[in-house]
Amino acid sequence: MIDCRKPSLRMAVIAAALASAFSASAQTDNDTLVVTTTDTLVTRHPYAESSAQMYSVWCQVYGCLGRYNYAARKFEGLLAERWEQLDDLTWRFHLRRDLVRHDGGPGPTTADVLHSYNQVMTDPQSQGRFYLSSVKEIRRVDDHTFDIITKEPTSSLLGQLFDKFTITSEEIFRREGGVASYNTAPIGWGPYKLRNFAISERITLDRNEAYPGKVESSPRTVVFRRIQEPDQRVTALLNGEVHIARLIPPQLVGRLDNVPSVEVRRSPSNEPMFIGFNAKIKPWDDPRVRRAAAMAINKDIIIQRILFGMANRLDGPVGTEQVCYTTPIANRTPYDVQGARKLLAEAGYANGGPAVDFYTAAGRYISDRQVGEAITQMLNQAGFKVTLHTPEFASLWANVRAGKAPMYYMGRGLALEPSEWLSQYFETGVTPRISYSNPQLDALFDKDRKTFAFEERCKIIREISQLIDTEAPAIFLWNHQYVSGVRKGVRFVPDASGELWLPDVGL
Amino acid sequence: MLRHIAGRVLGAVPVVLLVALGIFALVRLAPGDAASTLAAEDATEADLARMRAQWGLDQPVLVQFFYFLTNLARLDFGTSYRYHAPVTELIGQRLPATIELAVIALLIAAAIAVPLGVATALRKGSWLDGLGSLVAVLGVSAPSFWIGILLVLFVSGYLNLLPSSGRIPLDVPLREMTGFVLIDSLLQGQVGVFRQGLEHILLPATTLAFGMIGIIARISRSAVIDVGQEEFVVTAVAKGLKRREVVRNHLLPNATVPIITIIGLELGTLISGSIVVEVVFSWPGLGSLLYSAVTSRDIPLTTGIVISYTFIFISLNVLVDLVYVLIDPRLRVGRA
Repeated sequence: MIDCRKPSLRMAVIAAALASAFSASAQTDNDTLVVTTTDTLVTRHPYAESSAQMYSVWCQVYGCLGRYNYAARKFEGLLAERWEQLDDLTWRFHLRRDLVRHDGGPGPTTADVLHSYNQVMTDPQSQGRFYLSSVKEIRRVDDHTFDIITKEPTSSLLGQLFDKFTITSEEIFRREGGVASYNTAPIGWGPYKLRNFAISERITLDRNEAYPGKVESSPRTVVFRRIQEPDQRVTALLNGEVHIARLIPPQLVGRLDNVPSVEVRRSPSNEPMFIGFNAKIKPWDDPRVRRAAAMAINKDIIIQRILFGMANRLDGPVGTEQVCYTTPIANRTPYDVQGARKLLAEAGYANGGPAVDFYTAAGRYISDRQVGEAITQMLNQAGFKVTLHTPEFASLWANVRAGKAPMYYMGRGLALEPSEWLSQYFETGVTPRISYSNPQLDALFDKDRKTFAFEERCKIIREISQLIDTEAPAIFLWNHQYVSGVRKGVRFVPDASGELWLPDVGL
Repeated sequence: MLRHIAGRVLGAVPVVLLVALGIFALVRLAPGDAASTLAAEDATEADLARMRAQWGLDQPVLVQFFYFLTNLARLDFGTSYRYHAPVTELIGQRLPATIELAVIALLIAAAIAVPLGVATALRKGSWLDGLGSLVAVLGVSAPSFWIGILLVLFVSGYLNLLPSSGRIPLDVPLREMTGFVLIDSLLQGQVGVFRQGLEHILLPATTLAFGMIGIIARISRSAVIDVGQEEFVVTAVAKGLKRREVVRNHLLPNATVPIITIIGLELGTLISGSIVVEVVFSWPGLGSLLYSAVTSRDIPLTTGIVISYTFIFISLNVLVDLVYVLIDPRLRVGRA
């Protein structure tokens, strides 16, 4: 018998009692998969928030036309069964007929697609107009067939629409009082049903048992639990509060090493990190100065020392997980400090300079401030006189958008289709973020849009990549890796989207 | 009494107006704007212009301020740019979580700090007094995010005693009645949920309480020392009353006014100062909502929350005044 009169023993008994009383609550049941998210989870309105997390959730609840399968490296239909191109401007889509709505109602029809298109384009809260910006109209062919007519030839249409264009029921919208239906009846055709959406806290989904081809081993219930602090995500994983902790920063991966119940899984992302130069602001109007900066930065050492090897070096703007990547471009800008000095001398800075202002957010991207400091040192070694600024992200981003930031470190999310985002930054007059103009590059972008043969198109994208690397209106650095801590026994292969396709996950 | 309350409420009107003016100016002076922050990365300049027009941000500042004041007079803070919901509704949803956190933090702080302050006053100059000073300095100087992360790592990570974040366990069947998890669970007889709610609140509340312990302990100590020098205490000791009786019947009752004052004021500070703790612990309260509003330049939500904090602070001050009157007979006599 334990003598609890001794203070030390009494404390031990109290601690043991507390542990047994409390720790049980941290566990989760066997059918429920709990996954962390850092997304703000702001609204149940499927068109009112533009984030990878919410696109993924709504695609799996309401349903979207299709998705990009990173493992197979191809676009797959979800609500759309198949599609074909009728001419340069017309794409025909055929909807699946084997789907049943979550409430037992009919499967998706052309009326639902037209309704969703209308919602994206006219709802004042909609944040999705951009992914339908190349669409001129959607035309009904029959109840399960429709044509998308584009404003101009758009070879990347699938990349623009798939994963993002959520289809909602026209009938439910009408019956349940319009936009309010997103709160009261979030009913769709996807492989999961929305059980609960606690704003800024969690989303709970239940498996749709009536979904054709349902995977028995996929989790019956999935909870996306919002945990912003990385330390807490790791702690919650180690505690058994969550099964998958996403976005583990490199410096915390060590906490998961040698933990028998946990595995670390990595995937390259498709968020290229780059340094953008505004060519309207001196000295970045001079390609020799831009190229000198590109040659002065030792990407490998930053990846090894600051990012702990958890990033994939980019040689040119297209990363391994993006559409059309095959091999690195032929003529890559080398790391060559002497060469950088020589270029600066040619540009008129033989006696030092130029003085430049470099902006990076602090806390937005992995180790962004430290990366900014390292790049500053490297540029200074080559002869630049760099002043580093670390404003709040909202302020920096507003300046970048308005074309007021001369040099900045930034990432570009959801960059699956390289031609889309490269056009956004580097095609003349599209946005002022880089203010770069090159008729040769513009012609290539135009040619890319009109080229529908995949191999041919990828050749053009390689030409675009090579030209951008040579001209250096931006320096492409790396893709961070998505690092997830996963409890043993959970089947989950992370991909470059950073999201989970739940039918592929297993407990 | 009613006249006193009415006077305080009327006096609050210019304070609220000043705060409104200040916050309106500050959020507009801050660099960056809501449209560019909240629009999708691919959004075009036309999309941004449409968003600005929709929110009235394309109007002259004076026009915006006029609308802001007229809406404020109706207690209508508008619709959040980010959450697409009325600001008053969002505040109503989040306020109970913050109040619950602040009250539990205050209870923890008071339970530790008041006895500590009294004990250190009674043993002035002893090792206990030194320890009390150390605790006070640590509490005031240690940043709450650091304390919070340490507690998570140790209590949650190492000991695995308490959950690391969140407010309630996953999808508990708790019907919302008051918005306070601890109260709702008790009202519905769900003791298990109450216990789980308590587990979730303990770490953030302790973190929040940490900074308060030092302040309340030091005020309590000073109050007891001050009262101890009063003539009636000296008389009581001279009459031969036992030390315990002197403390219980003379020292403590007369030291309560400053202690109640600081506790009342600190509750306001806790409610408005929980931002960092709420963010660290993913606590779904008003503080984390304010953080989200500021970082996304959500002007209606930011102004709405700050003005709500002002109302809360003023209300608590009035409440503290009323409590004075209840606990100190001299004030009642004075008013009569």
